[in-house]
Amino acid sequence: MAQRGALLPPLLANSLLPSAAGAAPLVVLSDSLLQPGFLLLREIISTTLDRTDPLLLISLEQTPSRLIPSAHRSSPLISHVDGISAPPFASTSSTPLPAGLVDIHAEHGMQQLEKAVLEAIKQKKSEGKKLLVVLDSVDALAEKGVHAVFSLVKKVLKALEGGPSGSRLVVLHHTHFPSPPSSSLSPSEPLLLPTLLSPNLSPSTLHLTLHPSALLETLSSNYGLSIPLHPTQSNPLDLRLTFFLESFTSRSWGDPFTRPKSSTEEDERVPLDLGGRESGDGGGCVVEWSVRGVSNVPTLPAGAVVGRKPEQTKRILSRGLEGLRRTASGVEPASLEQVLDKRKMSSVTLPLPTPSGTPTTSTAPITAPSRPSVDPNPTSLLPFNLSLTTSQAAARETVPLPFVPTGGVVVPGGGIDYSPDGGDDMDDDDPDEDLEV
Amino acid sequence: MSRDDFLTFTTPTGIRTSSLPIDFAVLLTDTLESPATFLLTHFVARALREPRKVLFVGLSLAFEHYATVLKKNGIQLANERTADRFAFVDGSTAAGSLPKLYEAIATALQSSGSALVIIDDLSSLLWSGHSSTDVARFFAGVRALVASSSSSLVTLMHGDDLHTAGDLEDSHLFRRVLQQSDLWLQTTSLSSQTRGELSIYRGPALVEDYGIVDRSGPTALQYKLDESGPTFSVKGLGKFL
Repeated sequence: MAQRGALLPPLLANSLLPSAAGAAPLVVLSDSLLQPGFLLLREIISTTLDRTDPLLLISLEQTPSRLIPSAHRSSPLISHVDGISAPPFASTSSTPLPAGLVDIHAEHGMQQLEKAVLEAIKQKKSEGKKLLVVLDSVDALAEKGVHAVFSLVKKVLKALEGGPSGSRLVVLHHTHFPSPPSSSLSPSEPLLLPTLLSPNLSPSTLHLTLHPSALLETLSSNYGLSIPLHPTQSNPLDLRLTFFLESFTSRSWGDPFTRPKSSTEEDERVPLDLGGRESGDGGGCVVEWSVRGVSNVPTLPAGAVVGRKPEQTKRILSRGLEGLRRTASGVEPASLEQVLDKRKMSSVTLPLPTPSGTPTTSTAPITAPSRPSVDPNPTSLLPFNLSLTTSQAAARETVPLPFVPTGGVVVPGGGIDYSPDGGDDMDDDDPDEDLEV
Repeated sequence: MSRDDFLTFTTPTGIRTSSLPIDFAVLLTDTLESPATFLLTHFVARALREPRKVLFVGLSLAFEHYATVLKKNGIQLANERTADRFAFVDGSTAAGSLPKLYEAIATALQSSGSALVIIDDLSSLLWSGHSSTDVARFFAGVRALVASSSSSLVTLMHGDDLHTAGDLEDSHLFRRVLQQSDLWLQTTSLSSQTRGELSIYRGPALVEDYGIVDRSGPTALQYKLDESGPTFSVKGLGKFL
């Protein structure tokens, strides 16, 4: 059975092993136009409600009915802070909004939002179960400034702290969402994503970024990054992968809206579909995860963090790559093999750059997934043959070399054998004879 | 398949229909060289024939203009209006006030119930001086109204300035509106105002797969406009839908 990934299944089952610092009370789900995160967010909500754990949904962007599966629509487990149904421009100090509705753009709107959220958390916490708080989306909130986001997230995390470990806040974030140009925000505003991921906000954070499968296939086949379909200790993911993914995303690789201007320009557009690229039994995409401050992430080797104190794990970052596949009812975790097309991945991999200061165990290149054994002979990776068969070697031996004497004996010293003919002017005197040096 | 069926949806029961689903938002962008007003009149004609009520928010052109165009399709817009099947919210009556405009739409939707709401066009609000944040708030309000009244929404925005480095207001509004849209239809011109290409992209808010054929990029649809309306063909195949 294909490996389903080490992080998504426990996240969906809310069984990320708790440590003294709390197992990722903050989860940031970064999506993009190429790969929306809606279906994954819905799946997280659906599995929470299936376990009869309570949910607090803070809607600032999409209608809540899209996020909540129809089977759970009227469940008493759900509390809702509705930031979108309020009529815009309607609330003034003289006409307050109907109960349960918030408008963050109104005067004191942010305070009302914070108050409503904290009250709802207090109420749900009293039930004593692991609470899931979902914020859709953090970019809608960032219209009021990154400091507003920081303040709300910090207060929510503080409010969740006293409750059962396993309560968490999941925020939906859109990569490279433009900020409002005509706002009164100062130009030295901090950036949103680094603020969300900073240790000041939460001691332990899980960051999930969704990427289309086509991007990883391109990085593997055109850029030679080593992306094994079953990463292991001895055959890990290329260390440069994270930076390539960031760089490609920031230059809007695959943006289907940017047409190539001439036939010589490369067409990098990725066709958009619902859950990722169709591949037989459903679409799929790749989830890049990076987690800080969780001490028992399953893929870490057993000896790595055992024995460390919880404060020491606060800044340890581990990363990985998993698949996510669309099913009839939602999405499910999948192995990389199920979401990446083997035929589009490279079959020759380049040697990893060895970091300086570590002992080099071997200079052998990392082999492709199709060749399980490490071969010390570099010519074995070439697609053509450099060696000779025995008959070819014997034939080579019998070829007479043109400038070697027939006896096979080579004259030592390399002397020049010159016989002058009639036209040469040979003078055996030493021209430097009269020099008094 | 009639020549209208460039965009069809599969209902949960498996039937293919041209009717836009409930709580569904389509964002339509065009350029000066490839104006998409023909698509708006096309949506109106299709809805009125179903029959489905239409609420048209006209922010750039007057009612008479659409009445004239739709007469060619055999639709008498004035009659439809008196029979309460077609409602027209004139942008000029709101005199540039977004709250008043929102109120007018809310009132019209309350009296008509579920309808196909068409906004022509959102960019004119931006260009008449409102900030992109305010227009985005207005759009979010209309979007919420559409959801609560089980309606569908088609919004037109002019996409000429979307990719220029200078215009931040346009691209900010576009991205905010796109985030709440299920589908994005983009027209680009093929060197003339009557021939163009229509690309259909799924929007970030799309959750149900209605079997919408993904016609983006190399497989976009091409259209040709004439007196009677648009004809669509699949690029490269040389045959009409």
